[in-house]
Amino acid sequence: MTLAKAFDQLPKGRGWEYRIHRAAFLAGWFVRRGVNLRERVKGSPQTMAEVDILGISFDASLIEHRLVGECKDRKGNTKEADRVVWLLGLRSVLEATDVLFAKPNLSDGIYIWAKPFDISLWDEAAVRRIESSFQLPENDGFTGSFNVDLCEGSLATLRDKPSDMHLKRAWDYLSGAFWYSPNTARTKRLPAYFQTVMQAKLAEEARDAYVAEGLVALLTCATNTARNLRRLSPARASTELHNAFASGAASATTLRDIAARADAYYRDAIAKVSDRGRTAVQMPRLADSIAEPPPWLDEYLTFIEAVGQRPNAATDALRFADLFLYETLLAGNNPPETVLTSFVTPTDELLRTIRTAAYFARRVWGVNCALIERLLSSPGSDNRAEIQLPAVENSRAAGLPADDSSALASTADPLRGRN
Amino acid sequence: MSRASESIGISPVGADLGRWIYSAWKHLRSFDQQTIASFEATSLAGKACDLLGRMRRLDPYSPTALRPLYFDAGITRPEFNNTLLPLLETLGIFQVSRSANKAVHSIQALVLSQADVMDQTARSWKQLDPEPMERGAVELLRRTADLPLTRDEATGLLLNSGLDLDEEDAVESIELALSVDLVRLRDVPDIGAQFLYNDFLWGEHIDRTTRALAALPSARRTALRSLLEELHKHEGRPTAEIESAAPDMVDQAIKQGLIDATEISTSDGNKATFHFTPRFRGYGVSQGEIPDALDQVKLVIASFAFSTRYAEFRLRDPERFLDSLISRGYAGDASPIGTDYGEMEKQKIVNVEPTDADGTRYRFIAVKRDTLIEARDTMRAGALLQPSPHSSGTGLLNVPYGFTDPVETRQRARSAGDRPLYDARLLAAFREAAQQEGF
Repeated sequence: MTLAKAFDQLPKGRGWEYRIHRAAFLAGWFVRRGVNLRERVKGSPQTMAEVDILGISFDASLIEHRLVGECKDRKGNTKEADRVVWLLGLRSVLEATDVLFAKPNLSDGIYIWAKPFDISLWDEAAVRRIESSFQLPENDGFTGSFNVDLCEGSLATLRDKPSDMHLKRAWDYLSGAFWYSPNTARTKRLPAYFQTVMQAKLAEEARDAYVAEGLVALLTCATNTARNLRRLSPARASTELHNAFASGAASATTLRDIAARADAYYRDAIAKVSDRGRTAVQMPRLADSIAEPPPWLDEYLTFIEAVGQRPNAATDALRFADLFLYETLLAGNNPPETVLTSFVTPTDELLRTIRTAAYFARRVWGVNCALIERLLSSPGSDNRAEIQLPAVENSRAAGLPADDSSALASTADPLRGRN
Repeated sequence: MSRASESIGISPVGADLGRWIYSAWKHLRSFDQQTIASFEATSLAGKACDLLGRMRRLDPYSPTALRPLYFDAGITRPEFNNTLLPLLETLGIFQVSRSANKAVHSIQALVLSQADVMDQTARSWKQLDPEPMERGAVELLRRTADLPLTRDEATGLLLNSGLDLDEEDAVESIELALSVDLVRLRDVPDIGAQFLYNDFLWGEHIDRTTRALAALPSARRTALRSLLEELHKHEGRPTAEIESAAPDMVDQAIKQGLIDATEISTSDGNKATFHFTPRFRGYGVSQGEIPDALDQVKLVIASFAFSTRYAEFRLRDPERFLDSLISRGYAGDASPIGTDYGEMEKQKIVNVEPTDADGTRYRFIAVKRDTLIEARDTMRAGALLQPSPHSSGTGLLNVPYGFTDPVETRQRARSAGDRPLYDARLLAAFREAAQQEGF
């Protein structure tokens, strides 16, 4: 099936969502489509609403900007205002900075009415303009996480309705609440997500599909944490992060104080009932074991310092991760040249960030699958033919000075001769 | 399954093996190439460990920027280009960017912590496929650090080590280790046997060492215990400030391996020795898995202790200086920072950058903040950060440029030829202490 055919077979509304996803991506957003707003009601999680388009970008200070978008394809002007009002509510719920309403034909009234609310309004012409500037037809050239063939075909089969309940819950979280949850809390849940994916009985392709989204999520968390590191002096920021990761929403100091009081209470009680002064009771102190940061925090801090070194490349890194992981590694295609022109940062630098995330996931959280192996395989290894690694485009890459590196040419694998 | 897939998670066993490989390399590097020809894999992996320790923190390096680092780690250019670069790249430890003509543009070491460095060192060593007797010699170093062993015990342990060694390999491993003093052989008349042991024996089991000291004459025992206690409280204390033992006693303790000494020397000939307990982790530091195997914390401590006490231009307020370096990320505004290529910069613990347009004054930029924090906390606990009573007050910092690690310092101390006193008695006592633990 060709991409054009796959797109043409989609219901019209769904095709419009793909186009808006692609246009928002090309406009500089990292985008997730169809994000469920899930809340726990009376103990069980329920889907309260769905966000058609959720976009993320980072400015030069690594402050996150969040886009919420609604896609409608029906003709006429009925319900347009309804949808805009819904979006304004969503902006408040999700603390979004930007709002987008996309409909092939918009009435004059909605332009006038919505003007004070600072909303982006995209009609067919606006979307076509973005597509044309990248020489993309409206029904072809869908790539990355908006690759129609991939998303409607193999990914839908691999990810939807997993039989493993733990995996289902983990995926529901990662594809939904993760994208609007507080950063520390969601970061702490990521190792459990990967662990669930690694423990589930899955085909190789399915595990790859889950891990790919986990890596994008890891990069999102890391970029947000990097921003926290930059807000304060390094030592103070590091202390605050240790505290935040130790306790989640509550203050670690407060938790430890409470634990210390509990320790004092129980020790006093035990001392009173025991044979006074004769029995030395050895028991661990609650205050020593509560509110401990996760054991991987130090390695994570090293990782996020590297991610935060080039704040101007943060959004590009996320967008390129989407493209590379989904299009190159899952779909097995080279990303279209036209789409690659939407990246300001050299792609080899972006790839380095993704590989660093994969390395962190494998070395520290023990994540492994064929996708990570291919991602981390060196250009000199046996998997070289499977991944086309982009060459350095210019000396801007990595912010390194030009030098006499020509003498250091690629060399043969020294291990091959030994075996 | 590919080589890369063997690297899931940082293995504590791998990290421990890496530490022994690097320790073996620190010992072996003082020998000529011919003598250590049988340790080819250990030499290469040890050098790789040194380089990875400098490169950790995920910064990318251009080949030009990397060259002084690998030269300083004892790696030649052909060795790097033809062996280490492809090896580490194939193992997924190096991430290499290449331009269209395949020339290397930048290299990033994907190592996240000291434990990661050690584990990757072990992986590299295994990929270099060491000969059976080389594998056995490193294993023997590790095993004799647990307990002094007779030859028969050592042979038995090597045969059951899972390294696929036969009896001939085991015997050759012992002889190889003895030939370069990686392990030592000593008669112990109290037990009527010869024991293999190594310098790390005392550091691996502080409790046993303390009990073993009871076997020594009381005056000597008291002095050594006091020395260990003093150094535990004041890690990095220089020779002149040690109060609990006379210099000859300190010298004997260094030769015996009971304490570690590092040496700082400058281009103008200044030199000073600083002392640490062998199992140094950093006083009050919680990181327990890997001690300061790369000697980077010791280097920072020794460098700052030197700068406050012996440098031509002494550092006036080292505590504030280190606090600034850690919390702001930079510190200093002095000419000597730029004129000497400090050992701390070679280890990439700090970078140096000019603070004025003329390039006459420089400052430090923190790179390995974790190392700086461990060093500061240790120095603060041991009062090493107090200003020197003899400070010149100029506020300038003369960066130490030469650093000698504990292994080399001990080798030098022993080169005089004298045999440390009480070795045999201590070995017997240590062994007895270990056996008592078994019941």
